[in-house]
Amino acid sequence: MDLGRQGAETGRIHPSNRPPERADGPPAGSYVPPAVDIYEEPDGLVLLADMPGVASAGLDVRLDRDTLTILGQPSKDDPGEPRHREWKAEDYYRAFTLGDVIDRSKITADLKDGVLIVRLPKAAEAKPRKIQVRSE
Amino acid sequence: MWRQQFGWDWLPDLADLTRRLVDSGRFGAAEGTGTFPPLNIFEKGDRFLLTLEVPGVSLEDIDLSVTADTLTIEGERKPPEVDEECYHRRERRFGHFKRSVTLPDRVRPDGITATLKAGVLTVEFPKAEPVKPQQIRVAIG
Repeated sequence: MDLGRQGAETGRIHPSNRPPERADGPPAGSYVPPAVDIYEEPDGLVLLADMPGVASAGLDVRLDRDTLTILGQPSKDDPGEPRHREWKAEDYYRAFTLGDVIDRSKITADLKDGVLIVRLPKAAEAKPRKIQVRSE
Repeated sequence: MWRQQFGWDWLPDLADLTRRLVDSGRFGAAEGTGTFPPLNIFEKGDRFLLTLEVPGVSLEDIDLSVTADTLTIEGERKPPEVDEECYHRRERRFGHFKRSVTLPDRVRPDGITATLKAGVLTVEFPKAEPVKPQQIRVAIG
């Protein structure tokens, strides 16, 4: 049995763009899903989400049972009269389902240069362990 | 219509540049087209402001240069050092980017400043002093 591989499968988080139907879903409004990368390290998963223009005051990351939601609200103020526009400041929202392999109490979130970095460490039991063989 | 109101001659260049940048703009080895990073232009009093979305790009990886009437923003977004097979999902793009904007003749190139905050680059430049109209006396005779 390949413990490492199994850990990778059950640790997969499944992105969905639909805000979950719960009382504490995001406030009414329109949202765009941020571009997200998810990769695996030996100790856990790392999620990176592009949220340019979002400062920590406008960021809301929460975990409810198996759902991780990220909400980013950038400042919508224009620095002057618009003359040419290719991008618009919009609220970002995305939800993910966590597998059992993640240790919920150790999830951390950082914001740097408009990128949200969420680290999801694997629970100790999920890491590959060497099993001592008892000999006769 | 508002283009005529403000007497700009950079707007047609920008539209042309946008079209040309669709062909030459590159961001990420796999992506061959697209204008990146997206750019907005604002006017406020005696200055113009350009804002660009560059999440995850450090200050040292952005280069701003001005030649004659062109402002160029060039840089690179570097990916984390992770093997391809470790990715469960990959949507963010990386690589070299470059955008050029033709400045209107009413801009002083020496007064350009730039700030990077929360992944948004803001480039400010003051407008040049307007040429004072001269009064010409015409002799009628």
